[in-house]
Amino acid sequence: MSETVRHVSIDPITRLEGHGRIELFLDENGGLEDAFFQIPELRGFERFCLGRLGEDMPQITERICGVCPEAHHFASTKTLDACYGAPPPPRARKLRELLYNAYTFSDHLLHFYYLGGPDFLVGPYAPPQERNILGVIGKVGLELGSEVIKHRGFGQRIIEIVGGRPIHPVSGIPGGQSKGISEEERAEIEAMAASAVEFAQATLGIFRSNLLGDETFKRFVAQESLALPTYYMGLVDGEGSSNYYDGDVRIVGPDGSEYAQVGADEVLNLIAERTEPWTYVKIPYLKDVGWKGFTAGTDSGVYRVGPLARLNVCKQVGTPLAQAEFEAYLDYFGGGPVHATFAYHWARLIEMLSAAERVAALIADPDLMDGPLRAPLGEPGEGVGVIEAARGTLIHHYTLDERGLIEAVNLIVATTHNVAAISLSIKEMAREVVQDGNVDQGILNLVEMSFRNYDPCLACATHALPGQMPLVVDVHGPDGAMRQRIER
Amino acid sequence: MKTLIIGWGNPIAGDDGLGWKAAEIVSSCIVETEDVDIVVSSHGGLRVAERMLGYDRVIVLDATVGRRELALTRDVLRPRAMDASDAPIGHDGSLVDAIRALRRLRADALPEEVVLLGAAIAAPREWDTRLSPSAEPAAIELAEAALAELEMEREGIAVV
Repeated sequence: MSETVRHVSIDPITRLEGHGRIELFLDENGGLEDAFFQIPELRGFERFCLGRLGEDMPQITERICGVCPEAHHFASTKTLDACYGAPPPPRARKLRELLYNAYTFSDHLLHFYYLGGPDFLVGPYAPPQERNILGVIGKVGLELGSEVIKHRGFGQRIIEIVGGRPIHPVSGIPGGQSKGISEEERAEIEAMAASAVEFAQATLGIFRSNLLGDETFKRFVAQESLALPTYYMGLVDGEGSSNYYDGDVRIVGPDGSEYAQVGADEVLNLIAERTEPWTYVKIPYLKDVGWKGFTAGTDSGVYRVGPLARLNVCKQVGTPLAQAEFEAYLDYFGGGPVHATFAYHWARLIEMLSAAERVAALIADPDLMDGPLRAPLGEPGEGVGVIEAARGTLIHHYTLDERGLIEAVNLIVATTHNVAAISLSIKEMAREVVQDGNVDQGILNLVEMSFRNYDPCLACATHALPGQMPLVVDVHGPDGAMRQRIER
Repeated sequence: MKTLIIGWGNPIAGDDGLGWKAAEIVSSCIVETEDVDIVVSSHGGLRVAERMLGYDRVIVLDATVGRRELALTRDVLRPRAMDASDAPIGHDGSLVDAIRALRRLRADALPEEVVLLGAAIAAPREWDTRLSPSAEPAAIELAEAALAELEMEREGIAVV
């Protein structure tokens, strides 16, 4: 990097889990030279797990993340199913899917109303203190606030009923579930599911009437320079429908053609991980395509996961109301795959509706109330579990010794899959908006918006109390001296 | 009065699990009744704040970073009286900001009082299910402080 590069640091990023850091390097003309996305993390997790009981992993791994413990809990449980050669019986599998779809619904709801939605519902240039859930209800109506809280509560209540504990689920065990649900609980979930479907439809209505009518949003989804033609990864079932809990891993190329469709046990053969000197995170890429640097396209092994990717790899979404929304989405973009990074927001809401519909369908399934809850376990061994966390594909890989103790463990989390693409998206947005060294709150938010599309999760569940998460931006001149500091 | 005690932190991140440990100690010392619930959580601020809805009083037990190590702290929030005009919020954002946001959305369901009991620790650097030797007594002190809060509540003593 040249001596004349100026340095803009955004640290920590606001409105995401844990702490991340965006590094922008400006050239001597005040334009963008380069951009990086960094995740500081507590290292040594694999070493920490060695020698522990495999059966403890669903409780251990769900502590990694203060945002989506459900995803780690069931990725871990599915990995143990594979380690013990014990696929769960239908009742247990459907109970897991029920809880899992409630989590997906609730998580996507949170992103739209609290995290990503305010950027457009309130506006990217609005003051930061207005660009939040309160600004959203100011625009859409106070009544909405109660509905948001009510339906977040529904998601958590279903997780509590099926997961066996008020906050962190404990019901997933190797080969099945530790408990079923009562008829009274079934009826309670049924009522909540019906309401969730209606609320998801209403949310898509808000999206259509606000974001699809918003000039900034329309420009961002249409702008070619903000689209990334990458590979995409996600789970699909036997009919090619998107599935958050289970299925084959399907990967398509930038032109939409199938690159691979494999079972969980083969997915790690497709991925390689590389290290970069500026981050602790290992960056995955498609091994056979190869690493060509931070670039998109058919020749680059960079791929994306999450809602946009899942809608790009599936043939249909698998539930009727969401399918109609999916078709309207494809019509808007003239067909798939959709490369517009800002389309993540739309894809997320289609999935929110699909997840609510799945909860409604599963709770009406008679298998849920009758039959064995656990399969007999085989001898411990090696296994891979893949699940779709709200923000993308989550992979756990364990090897157990003959006593069932952990010999080896590796996790590839959703945000890690997306790190290369996030860096690219930040760079492209910064290139658009940072000119003449001018960096103000509105410009910084535009850069962060490119990053919030992915709903990245940097959680570490360590809290300051009472906490603060200020945004500090330092602008350095060519001599390295700080010229400007912006705080919020 | 319905009270919730939350042990907050990460039990696999060394001393960050201090609040969990303290909540477990409290749980072993009292009989949970209809009036007192005890939960533990590794969630971010918003989900913890959402958990408070419907209670009159909440006692949060947590490890804190950035104050004098192992010193006990006590802060009191009055959610229904808090300013909610410009509350930012995030998945793992500040608990205080999350409460402020919820106040605007559902003030009627927020507790009258949130007591934040903290024990300061050094920022965790490694994964560990154990507390450090110096943090073990702090967990006991934190639990004792929570029990004292409950006792004062039972005796009708106003807490300042």
